Amino acid sequence: MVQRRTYEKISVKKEDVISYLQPNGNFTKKLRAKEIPKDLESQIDQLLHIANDFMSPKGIFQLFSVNDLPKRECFAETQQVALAIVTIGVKLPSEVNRLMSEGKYVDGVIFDAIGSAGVEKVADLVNLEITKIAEKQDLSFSSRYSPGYCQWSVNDQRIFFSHLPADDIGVTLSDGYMMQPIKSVSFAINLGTNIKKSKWETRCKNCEDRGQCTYRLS
Amino acid sequence: MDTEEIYREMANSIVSLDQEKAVHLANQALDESMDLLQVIEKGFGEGIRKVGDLWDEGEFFLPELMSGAQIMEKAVDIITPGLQSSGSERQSSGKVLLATIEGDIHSIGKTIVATMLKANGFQVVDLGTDVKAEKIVDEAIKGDIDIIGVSTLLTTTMVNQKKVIDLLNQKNIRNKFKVIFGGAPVTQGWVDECGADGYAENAVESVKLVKELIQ
Ligand code: B12
Repeated sequence: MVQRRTYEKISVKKEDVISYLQPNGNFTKKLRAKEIPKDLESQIDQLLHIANDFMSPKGIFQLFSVNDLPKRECFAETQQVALAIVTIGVKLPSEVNRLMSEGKYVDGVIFDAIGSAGVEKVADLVNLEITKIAEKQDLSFSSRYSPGYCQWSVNDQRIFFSHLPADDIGVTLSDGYMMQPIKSVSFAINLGTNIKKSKWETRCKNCEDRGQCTYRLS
Repeated sequence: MDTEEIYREMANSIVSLDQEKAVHLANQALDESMDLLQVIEKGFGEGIRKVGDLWDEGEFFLPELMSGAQIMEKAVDIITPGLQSSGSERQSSGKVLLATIEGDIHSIGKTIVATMLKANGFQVVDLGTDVKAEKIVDEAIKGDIDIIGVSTLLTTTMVNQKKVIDLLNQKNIRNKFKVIFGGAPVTQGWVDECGADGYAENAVESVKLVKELIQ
């Protein structure tokens, strides 16, 4: 059965916001994260304080038997798949656009980063619910994964939008497979027996991008 | 303080992200009837270039880069009326049109590029997001544009970037514009495949690329 969630408030972590604001260039070579200046940190704190007024966190998810889904590499060794879409709504992105167009670039980019960290937080909450369901049924489960990452094509956003009533949480898909509002994420979690050792869950071990990819699972 | 020293102070006010000082120095430049073009070029402009370098070198966080641009804009806003009344204007380094391609509503990357280009003296026409190739080409012709910059977020929307080049070719005006691409999925391979003139991975690189292409 399809599950819908609305969250009154979410707590976005400052560290997660900062991770989207890191300096570029030689940063990765330096390896050590640079300390954030105090006044910038307090500006982030202030914006985090009001951020919930601009977010309407929502999620939708459902468990499917793998037989009800098209054949894909990522579904090869699972019995069930949870499909989920989450969003923080349109208000925050519009606020970012307003700030940027008024020349308030600093607040604009910080707010944008809060939105990215925010929607990932909503994904965390829905993820947790799904793994609890799995535990109740004594099933093992995978990490969450999304179309557009690893070998899974963005085109498969179609699977999410044909299987979930995403309209209910105000998310639509463009012809270019982009979700509106922009701060939305779709993801899947495999549920079954022996998922942890499946080829898909251990895909990073044999990946040619190993060592370069920031999304590596242990 | 001699003039060179004041220019240095101006550059420093941007690098130290000190808006109060920048505003003060901009007003001082007006009061003392300094050469305002030089004030922008050698003074504040030098500062914003350093800010870009600092971000590139991993010293500045994104909001600090943006803060530099924000303060630069304040200073230029103060100076512009003085420039105009003296009959000159900030020399445009060139005119760039920016748009996020159709099917794509991601704006932040493009807007950051626009901000940095403006801070570095380029005129920018920003058409916004989800813009059709036809509209981009029409506006480029109308707006006497030097460089067309097209942004995208996903590989699935990236394919539409090519339409801009195709359309320019169809209309036989490909050589009238330089076309550059940007956004997370864009690679040199894609640029070559489309026959575009270049791409940049971030806003600071974009400024360098545009400078190179416009020479
Ligand atoms: C933050 C982020 C998100 C956030 C926020 C999205 C947003 N942008 O608002 C969230 C979590 C919501 C998200 C969601 C998704 N994301 Co995402 N995301 C990113 C990430 C980490 C950064 C993108 C970003 O905003 N960067 C900050 C801005 C400022 O940078 P930018 O837009 O790239 O712009 C800079 C440069 O590209 C350049 N530039 C930009 N435009 C132009 C134009 C010109 C002319 C020039 C010269 C330069 C230039 O300069 C800009 C400033 O420095 C990238 C990975 C990465 N490291 O880039 C993945 C990434 C873009 N995402 C990806 C994917 C797949 C998705 C999802 C489809 C996942 C999913 N299934 O849910 C969704 C799609 C969202 C949607 N609405 O449809 C993929 C895309 C790969 C692909 N195959 O297309 C990436 C590349 C990650 C990966 N797999 O490697 N994402």
